[in-house]
Amino acid sequence: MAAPCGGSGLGSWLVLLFLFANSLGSDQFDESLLIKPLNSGHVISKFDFVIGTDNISGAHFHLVPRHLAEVISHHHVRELHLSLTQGFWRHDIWGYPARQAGTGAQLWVWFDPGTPSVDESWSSLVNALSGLFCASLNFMDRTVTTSPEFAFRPAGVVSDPSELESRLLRVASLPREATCTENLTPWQKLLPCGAASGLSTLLNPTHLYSTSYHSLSVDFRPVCADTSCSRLHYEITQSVTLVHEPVTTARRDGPRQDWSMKSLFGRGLYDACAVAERSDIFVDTAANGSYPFVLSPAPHSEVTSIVAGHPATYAAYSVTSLTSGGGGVNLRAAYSRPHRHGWTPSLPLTVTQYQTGSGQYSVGLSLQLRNADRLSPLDVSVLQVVPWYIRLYLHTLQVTVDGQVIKPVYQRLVPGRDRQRPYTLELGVRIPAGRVATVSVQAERAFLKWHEYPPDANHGFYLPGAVVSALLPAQNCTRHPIRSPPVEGGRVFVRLSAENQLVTLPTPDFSMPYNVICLVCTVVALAFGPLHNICTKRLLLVPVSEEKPGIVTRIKSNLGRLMWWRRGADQSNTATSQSPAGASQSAAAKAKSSKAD
Amino acid sequence: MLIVVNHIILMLADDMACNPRNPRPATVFNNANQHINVYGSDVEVDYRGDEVTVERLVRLLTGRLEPSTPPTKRLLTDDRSNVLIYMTGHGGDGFLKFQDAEEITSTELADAFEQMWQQRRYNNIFFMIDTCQAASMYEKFYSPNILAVASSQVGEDSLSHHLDSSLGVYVIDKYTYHALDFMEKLRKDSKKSMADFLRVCPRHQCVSTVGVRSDLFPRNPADVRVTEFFGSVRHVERTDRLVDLGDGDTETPVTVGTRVETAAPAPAGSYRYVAQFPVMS
Repeated sequence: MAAPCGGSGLGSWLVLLFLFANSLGSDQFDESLLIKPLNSGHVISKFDFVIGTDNISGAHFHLVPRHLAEVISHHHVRELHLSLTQGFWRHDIWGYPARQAGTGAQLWVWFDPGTPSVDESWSSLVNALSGLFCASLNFMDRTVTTSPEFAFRPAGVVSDPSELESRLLRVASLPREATCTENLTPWQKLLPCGAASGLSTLLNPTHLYSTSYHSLSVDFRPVCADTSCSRLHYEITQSVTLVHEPVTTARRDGPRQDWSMKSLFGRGLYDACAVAERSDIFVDTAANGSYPFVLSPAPHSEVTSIVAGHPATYAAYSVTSLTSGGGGVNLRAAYSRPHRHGWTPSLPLTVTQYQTGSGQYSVGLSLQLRNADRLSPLDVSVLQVVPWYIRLYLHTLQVTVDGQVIKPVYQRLVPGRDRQRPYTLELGVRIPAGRVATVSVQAERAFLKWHEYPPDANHGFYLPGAVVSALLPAQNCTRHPIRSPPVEGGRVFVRLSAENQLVTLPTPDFSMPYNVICLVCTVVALAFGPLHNICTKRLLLVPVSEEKPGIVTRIKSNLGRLMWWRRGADQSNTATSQSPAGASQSAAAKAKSSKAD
Repeated sequence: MLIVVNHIILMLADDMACNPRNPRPATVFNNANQHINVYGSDVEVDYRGDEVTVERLVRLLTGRLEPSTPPTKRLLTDDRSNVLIYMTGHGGDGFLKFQDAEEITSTELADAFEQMWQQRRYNNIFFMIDTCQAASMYEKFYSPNILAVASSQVGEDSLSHHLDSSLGVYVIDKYTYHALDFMEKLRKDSKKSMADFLRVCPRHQCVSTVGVRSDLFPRNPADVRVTEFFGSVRHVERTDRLVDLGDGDTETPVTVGTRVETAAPAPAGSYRYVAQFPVMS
């Protein structure tokens, strides 16, 4: 989970303090809720459920969910990071996320160096996880899986350089994967208190899935047990990140950003989880300057956390004392002024990705990286994974700044292979001060085999967005007061996802075989039948039978003789031109055909 | 809810509840008046989206799955299990459409059931199908112990029940609506028989004629309780053998025929966090 803006880092002494206070041999569980109202009118809520344990293998578990622990130990997993996300994190409006999650399903896993076969463990792991979380993670096969070298470094502790080899890392994403109640249900069952008590009771599907953005994640990693870091401790973090938009409900004097637990989550809070050592609610008061709000009930304390020199204040509640009176608590914020559209933060780095080109043959991908700092350049690490059916022309990959081509600081390009592996592009770009760098590449769209198209082929195929990492100032991050993000060189590590792309591939008309069969059969029937008759049958005269014909036959023959009499009158005028064949034809009123001898 | 959730394998080809076009996310109601949310908070969808194909259904029924398939995606039945299979969608004479791209035919389904019979994977099967010309799907069955009900005969269409104008779609079919209505009134100790259930939705309610195939079923449906298929009725075996459960000491692991791994302590050493951002020289 050493995600940007939300993991426990080296300087986080509060985390280590309560680790000391616990007895050995039993697990610890903390739950917390961070609510951050933004100037744009949105409210970010982040639930964190953290289980700390010394023991991840074996047969007896205390608070660690057995299903997950068995999957982890059976597949030689050292670190596991899974997210199921719906919606796109608008970092240009909401700031940088606490945990990066690309839209859809994303999984990155570090395996132990002693794993007999990483590929087999990976394919077995994604199947096990797909059964555990009711998601189609089994589609993360080798055609979408990659092993990058620079992105997704281990978030937990390592002891040996052999644990850092990229052959032990697998990263895959399924941009099309939806997330719904069936993913929340097993995720909640992994929590020590389930959905019965504590902060997880606030997670109701009807309110969760009406948000602008929601992301469910599970992170497992090894951490230091104490300051000397000589013993291993394992941490499983389950978190939910939501972005609500309460300002859409208007009142008579203008829209308000008033929010409460009932409006965000559908219900109030009744108790804390009984096995939790800490159960907290933090409200980020950074936006209090521009749009002041009053919290009720009043906060129990105020927490200030300084990360990379940037302070942030939070109003803190302890859930146990909040709910001690019984009857439930509805934490509410009342705003004094109506909300006019607030300014969006000016961010040091903004990222956007888009497609270029037209037609059914070629397509281009462009990633735009904007460095808003006018004084110093910004180093950015980019990872782009492209499925094999968008065949990149790697010679057209270039990084341009204002039309000038610049050389990336490093690049690692792994070409894809049809139906076997995707294209992996890793670049390190130094964006000059105040400029926009564009990474662009041209590609051709593959024409798939007819059975490889999904049922709704005309919808298109999804390309996962680029994952961009940088070290940025701490101002615009969503930060947890206790679990501070990793800080390197006085700056915070931030990981962002760019937009997923939807690309249409040339799709055949699947109704074609049916149409072709109908057409060909009709032509054959119309052409072959008469031809066969002409070739194989001949006309023979047969005597007209003596018995009295039926009434219909008599009417028909009368009509026929009438016509023939008329025709005969004409023909007698041109008797010289009459051919013998015509005479024999006209002589027979009824001709019966028979098979040629 | 009469059947425990992990005894249900649910295959949904479309994501309806969390579809962006659903004005009430995470809900699928049986009724335009929103009486029952059938997509409750404990739903578990085992196969969804592109995973729902004819091949996977036949593999699920016959048990020919890849070794890495998790247990929640397996049928895991034996010769004493009663299996309820409910299929709905668009269908025709002898087929049911999957994903608007392929069909499962009645012959395929009959052969899959025969494989199940030969592998001893069921005791009784109750097969319900709600499509147009649904009765054609059970006409080809030839394995014993199958009771089948279909919402319409060959040549008839099954009709939808009513339209939800806020969604713009017909929310439920007539046969399913009345069958669900029958089920909702049922309790776990109900004495209603399968014959009562097979009489659900007569012609004046359903417009189509409900078809029943009971010649392969050895017993009279009037003697079979609905809870045999729609409830988790456990078979209890009585034994007089004494079983030693131990004295409840949690320190010593109890070995019951399988080897139990004791937790290996993490090796001591020096650990460190690594830099997340690559060094750019």
